[in-house]
Amino acid sequence: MAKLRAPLSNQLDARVEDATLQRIWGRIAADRSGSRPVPRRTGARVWGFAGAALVVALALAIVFTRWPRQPSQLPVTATNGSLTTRTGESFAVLGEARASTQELSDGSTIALDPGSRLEVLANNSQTFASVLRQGRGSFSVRPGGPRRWVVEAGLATVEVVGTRFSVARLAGAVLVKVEHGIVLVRSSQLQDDVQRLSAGQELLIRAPEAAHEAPAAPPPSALPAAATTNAAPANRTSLDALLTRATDQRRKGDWRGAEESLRQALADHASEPQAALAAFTLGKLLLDSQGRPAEAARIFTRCLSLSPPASLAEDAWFRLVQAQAKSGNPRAAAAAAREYRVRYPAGRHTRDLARWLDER
Amino acid sequence: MQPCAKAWGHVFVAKPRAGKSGGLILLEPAPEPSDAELARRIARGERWAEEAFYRRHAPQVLTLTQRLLGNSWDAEDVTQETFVTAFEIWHQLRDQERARSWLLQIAVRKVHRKFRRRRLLRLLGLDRNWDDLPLDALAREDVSAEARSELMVLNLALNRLAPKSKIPWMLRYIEGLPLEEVAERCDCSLATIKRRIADAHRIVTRHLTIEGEDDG
Repeated sequence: MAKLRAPLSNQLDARVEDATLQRIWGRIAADRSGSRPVPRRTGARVWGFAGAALVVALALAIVFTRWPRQPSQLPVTATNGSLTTRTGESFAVLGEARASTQELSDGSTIALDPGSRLEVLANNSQTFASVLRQGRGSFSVRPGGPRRWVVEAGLATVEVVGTRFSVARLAGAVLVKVEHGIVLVRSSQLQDDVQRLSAGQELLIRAPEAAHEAPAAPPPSALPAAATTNAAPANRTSLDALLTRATDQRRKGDWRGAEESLRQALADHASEPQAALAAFTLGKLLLDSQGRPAEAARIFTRCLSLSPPASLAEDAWFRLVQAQAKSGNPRAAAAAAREYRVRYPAGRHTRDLARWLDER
Repeated sequence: MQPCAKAWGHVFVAKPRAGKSGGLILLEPAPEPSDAELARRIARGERWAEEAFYRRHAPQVLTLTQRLLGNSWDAEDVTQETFVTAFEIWHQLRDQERARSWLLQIAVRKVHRKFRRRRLLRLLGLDRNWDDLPLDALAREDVSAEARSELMVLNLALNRLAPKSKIPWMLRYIEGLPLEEVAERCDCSLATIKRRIADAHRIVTRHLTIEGEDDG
């Protein structure tokens, strides 16, 4: 097991995007210029705020408890709980010849490239659905909000809870990139019609006639079904508990117990972001500690189907090569090695891979 | 007094060109103003100095709040509130040489407040937020999968700690600050901070091994 060395900041990325800093400064400057004053929260005001929040929250809790499953019966007002612009204007279409950025009433942001057009299909307290007719849009969706965000883009539908991502309509294709959080991309071009994307990942979906030109991907037949449901925050604790338990069991040398915990994590929480890491850990356990390379190969393949972060994916491809070779499947190992070289021409394991394969 | 101009946070100083008696003036970028110089100018109400101060220190504040809170939106909010508050109470800054340290102290205070608000919302069942920036997601790209896995475990362990212990531990072991600075950032005595860090460290090291910076 690797040890962490303090200070851990050496292992963390300290880069900050200029666009983020600019966005924050824009809000600070607005506050400073008095267009949107920030209340000063001194002593008594803090407690006043907390008390008021408590009262409001209790009232809301009572309302939600009494009418939890009848949202459609809520009174319809002019805005109907719909999103508006920061200045309170409703909108049906965004985009024009020039680039535009629209901050919305819930703090979310939509930035459109020049020549893009986004039309609103539904906008209410539960859903914000839109269709990107042309161009490219970057969406920054406030997490934890009450609305389900849906962006239609012809070949694909993107579903969001809270994240930052972009959707671009290209000639005969749609490109979805995720900066933060998780999105679900639904398309008939995808295996099982759905693919989950997490931070740093992107997905290019081509129209059927152009599909054969798509870049190399894991052979679909080798990949089990991808996650098909939204992440369930309520289950997150139990996944955390399983992972922690598995770590403790590994430390104590209880391989069997660790395997059970990780398998349970994979079975119960396959749609959560850390599932790929659970699969990778299980694969390593089977390969390094249990001497079960064939099972390890299946698990590394499963890991790759769970949209792991880029760095983890690279390690998983490398480990897959090792597991396939050790399990006496040289053709599959060679195929995985080729895939690794295509995906990571200057990868961390390129040299090890060459040396390792030469030895066989 | 030399004539000067300001643009994008830089001060340009006008100098007569050598050998010329007048007419042509060459504008050369002056050295970056120090924090103390910016602090003095902010105190005098010069708005450009506020932006220059923000540009210099916002990356560190944002990075710190992202790591402490594990949530990009909360981190952006806290960064914004930190600078707004700092500029509002700038007159309370006693030692202008230590403006950066003072700013980070405000940021840590805001993080504490954010955790308190989260706890209240959670108690009321109204916290639907989820953290999108656990430590393993903040790892550098070249960090190995094993180390990333350890960071994930660390994140799980830290989430079990109360903020009053978690924040000092993170300042000490993640940011690598000396104990005295951790105490200052957290508005606590050195003895209190040592105790809280030690309590947190006992829990963290049940799950994984941390090398270096051992406070015993």
